Amino acid sequence: MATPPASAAPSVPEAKSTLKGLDPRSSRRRKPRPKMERVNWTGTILLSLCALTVLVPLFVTISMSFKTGQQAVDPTGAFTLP
Amino acid sequence: MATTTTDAPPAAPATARRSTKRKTDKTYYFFLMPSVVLFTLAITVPAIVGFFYSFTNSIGFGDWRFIGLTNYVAAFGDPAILSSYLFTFGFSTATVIVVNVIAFLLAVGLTSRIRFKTALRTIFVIPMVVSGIIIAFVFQFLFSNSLPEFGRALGIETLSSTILANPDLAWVAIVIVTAWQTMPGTMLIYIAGLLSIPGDVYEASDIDGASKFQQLLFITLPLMFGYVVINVILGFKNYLNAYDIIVGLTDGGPGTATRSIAMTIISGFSSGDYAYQMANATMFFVIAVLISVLQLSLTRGKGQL
Repeated sequence: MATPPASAAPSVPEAKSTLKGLDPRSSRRRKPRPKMERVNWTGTILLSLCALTVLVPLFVTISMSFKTGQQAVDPTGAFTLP
Repeated sequence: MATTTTDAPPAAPATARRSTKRKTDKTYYFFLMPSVVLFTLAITVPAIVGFFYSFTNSIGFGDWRFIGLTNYVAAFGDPAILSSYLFTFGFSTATVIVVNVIAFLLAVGLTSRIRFKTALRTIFVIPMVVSGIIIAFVFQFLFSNSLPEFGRALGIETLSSTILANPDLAWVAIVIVTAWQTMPGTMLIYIAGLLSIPGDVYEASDIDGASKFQQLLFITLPLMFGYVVINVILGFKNYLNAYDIIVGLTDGGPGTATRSIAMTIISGFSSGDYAYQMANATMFFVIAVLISVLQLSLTRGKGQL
């Protein structure tokens, strides 16, 4: 690797200052911003609908645990509250 | 110089032997013994006793005598046992396919950029912590009452009567409930696998212009192969032992259409076929060992889990 000439070293800050001088907003643009992730709403809705297949039987399980024997065997009242 | 090199090797193994002896001290055995004793008493001894009785005509108590391989020969020609093997293997194969496909798709969905990720993951894991027999009784109620009403309302003839009473469809209900309960465990393994794939691979494929479907087909699936193999074989072994969900849903019925191997073996304890079902259990054990060997040979060297 060849050593850069001594005159090249001070030219770098000069270049930076020149750029800043040309466009003062460029330094603001370079600030790291939190990258906004694109939310997959289709996937969210689909998975939420799939979650119903878990939640509905769980609701029946829990609601049945609070019912009396007669209410629990009522064939029309699987999804009703006690 | 030559003397030094010839003297050195005998000294080295002696030192190694001494150091090995020091490492395996009594504390090691002290901690090991409880597990060994418990495992021997709870697993090994009953297995040996059962294997011994499979060569007798014992009914579980009283006198017995050796009858050789008669039980094994009879078991191979027993249509009830053969149908239970047929049902169990068919059920296991169907459940493995259903569970792995659904669990993989859910894992892909739950590792993508969705909202409420933690809440959804929690919901999908809940069935794993609910007892199988409770789930079976709840689903039995739904299949016997709610689903027929739903079918009648929609005018679907097949669903208008309970599928649990249909010898051709009762196994479908068992597959659905078993998949519902065991899918979270499989899904968690897939999520762990998907999270272990480095993001650089997807970034590189993005630069190459690969679509999401191509990424799934040519990156995700090949890198997940080890997890698929483990899930398929562990699941298959697990479903071969199906018992509680079948008892809660159909109790082996209608007739013996959904009677699994485990149910057939356990029925031997109450019906006086103790030695006969011990022979059946031994055959089942051999099959389970063969599947375990298959599992080890397929997963050897993969280093995925």
